[in-house]
Amino acid sequence: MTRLLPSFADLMLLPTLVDPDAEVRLEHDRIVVRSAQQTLMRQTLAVYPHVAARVRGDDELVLEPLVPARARVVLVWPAGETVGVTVWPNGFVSIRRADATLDASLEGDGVTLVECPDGETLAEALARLET
Amino acid sequence: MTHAPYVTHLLALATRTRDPLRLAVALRVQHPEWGARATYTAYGVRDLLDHLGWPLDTTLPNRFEAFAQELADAHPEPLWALRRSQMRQLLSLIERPQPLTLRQRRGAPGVDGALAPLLVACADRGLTLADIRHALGIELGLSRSGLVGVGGAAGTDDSGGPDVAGPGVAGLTGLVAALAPWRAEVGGLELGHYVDVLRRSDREFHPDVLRAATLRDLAALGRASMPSPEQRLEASLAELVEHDDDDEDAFVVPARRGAMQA
Repeated sequence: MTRLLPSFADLMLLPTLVDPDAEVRLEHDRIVVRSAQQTLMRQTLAVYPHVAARVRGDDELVLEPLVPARARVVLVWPAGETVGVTVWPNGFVSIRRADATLDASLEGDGVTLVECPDGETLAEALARLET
Repeated sequence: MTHAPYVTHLLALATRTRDPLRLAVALRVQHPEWGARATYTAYGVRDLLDHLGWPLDTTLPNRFEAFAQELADAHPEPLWALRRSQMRQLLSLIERPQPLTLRQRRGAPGVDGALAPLLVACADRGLTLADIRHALGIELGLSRSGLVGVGGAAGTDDSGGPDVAGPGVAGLTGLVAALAPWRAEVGGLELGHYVDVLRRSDREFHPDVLRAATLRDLAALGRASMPSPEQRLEASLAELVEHDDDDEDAFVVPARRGAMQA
């Protein structure tokens, strides 16, 4: 199953959706989430491939950035539609404009262009990337 | 010149420049109690807006739902709920903007009496001091993004530019033309003076003040989202070992039928 990857900005907001009473703060270079619903918080936030989540004390979850392997792909349909996709481990993807993805490739990572048959949906194309 | 709310002007500039920083500033004005949450929201939706197209208008929720529908089965998680909530927040910027208009203080020290109302009009249209200088051709090429072309040196009209649909900020070209005789004064203007032309209660909403606050949020978030040098080294070593041992575990995009290598 393909899943959209939350950005670090999202990670500052997601915990209060899981537990409205959660407190989220930046502690220098890490995100600290304090919540009474620690198990649920861990189940939700400890699955992302770009963060390491560790429990601190009874009620805090600490998120630290990881450097996962990744690939950048531009999906191209015959009609000319294009979608930029960054692929992360464990089925996570980030979706951007194709040209933004190509711009990002100038930072050093290569981009693979993948042709999609006419009629293939974005979801189907993403599923193909997973396999 | 029109008298649309300040938020509407900020939103138009954000759309025109496709700049999440300006969107964060608009959200800060709309929700003064949010603080850093405005920054997280704007930067959280940035990729989505890049994908859906930036015009922030009332069609945005529909464009988003079409995207959501396509991937519906793939999103049984809170991120999806967060995005829906953020789309509603963006729509409220369009449909129910805070009725704030930035006003001039009485007697602004350090600024000529005839220049002050022009500067207030610039602030109310969301222009930073860098934007004004850029428009007057005083500072060019400062930044790859974020500067607004408003006629004059930038050579664009009021409609929002040819590549960005959606509303422009009315009156910008006229405003820049009115400022042209003040080019030397604007070139020497201190940021504090630009902020001080506003009445005291409006200064916290000045575009430069909110931009600075947003940049502080970003700096803090940047520290949290960047792996430390030790972590990067560890990852590089792990990758080397991985490639050395066996390519089977390495993460690569599988080759596709008909795939083209860029």
